[in-house]
Amino acid sequence: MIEDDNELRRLLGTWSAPPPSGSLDERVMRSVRFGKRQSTGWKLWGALAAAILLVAVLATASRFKQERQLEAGPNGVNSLSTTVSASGFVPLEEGRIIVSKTNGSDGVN
Amino acid sequence: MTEHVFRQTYTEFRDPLYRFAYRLTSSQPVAEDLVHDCFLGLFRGGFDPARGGIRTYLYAAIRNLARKHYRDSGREFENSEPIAESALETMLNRETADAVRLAVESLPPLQREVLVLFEYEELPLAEISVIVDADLAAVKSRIFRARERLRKVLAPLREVA
Repeated sequence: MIEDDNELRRLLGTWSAPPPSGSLDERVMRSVRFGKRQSTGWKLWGALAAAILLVAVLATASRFKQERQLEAGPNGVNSLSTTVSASGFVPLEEGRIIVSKTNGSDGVN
Repeated sequence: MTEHVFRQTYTEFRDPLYRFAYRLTSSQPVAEDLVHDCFLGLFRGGFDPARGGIRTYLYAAIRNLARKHYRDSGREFENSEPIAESALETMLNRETADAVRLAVESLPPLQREVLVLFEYEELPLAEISVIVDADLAAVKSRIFRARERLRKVLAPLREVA
């Protein structure tokens, strides 16, 4: 316990704080109202941003799905293929190169 | 915190917090800034009832804001130099209130804050120790040293009285 010193306390009591200015209350309340509005505003902006993000994600996903379907084709095979008909193709039985001279000019057959 | 509860709290604690801030900073505009910031912090949800009462929270907030003010203005809270006693003696011819103000201002900040909380705000020692985040023995020691210093500095006034 700390002993009382009434004489010291009396002296200390002679120094009083001046009253706060009249603008303090208004300033605090204005800040609180502004803070509240700002807080509500941020919530609204946050919700809007989340909605836009969701729409963007869904749109991207949908577009990606469509592209995959186009690539897959009607049979659902997920690849591109090229086919060439080889009907009537007859390979040479014995391939050879013949060089012959005709009418004074060289020719390659 | 609802605006209604906030207004009630503000009405109840504005003056004591302002007095505390003023006696820590010796500046009316700075004290008002601290009170403003303190209540704004309260409104934004800075108070946690699980950690103590609202009064303790508010005084601690003012104290922390005052420390920040000291730091921002380039003054060290813990180690700032007190006013020289010789300068005080020459000022003691002023009005008693001015002399007391100067004497309190001359205290090292850690002594000053506990003295203000104990002598002016009349808070219990246990609550002061929570506010200044120091153990009870340290608080008692600081109050003891602050009073010793004030008794010495204000001795001429005591003799006159």
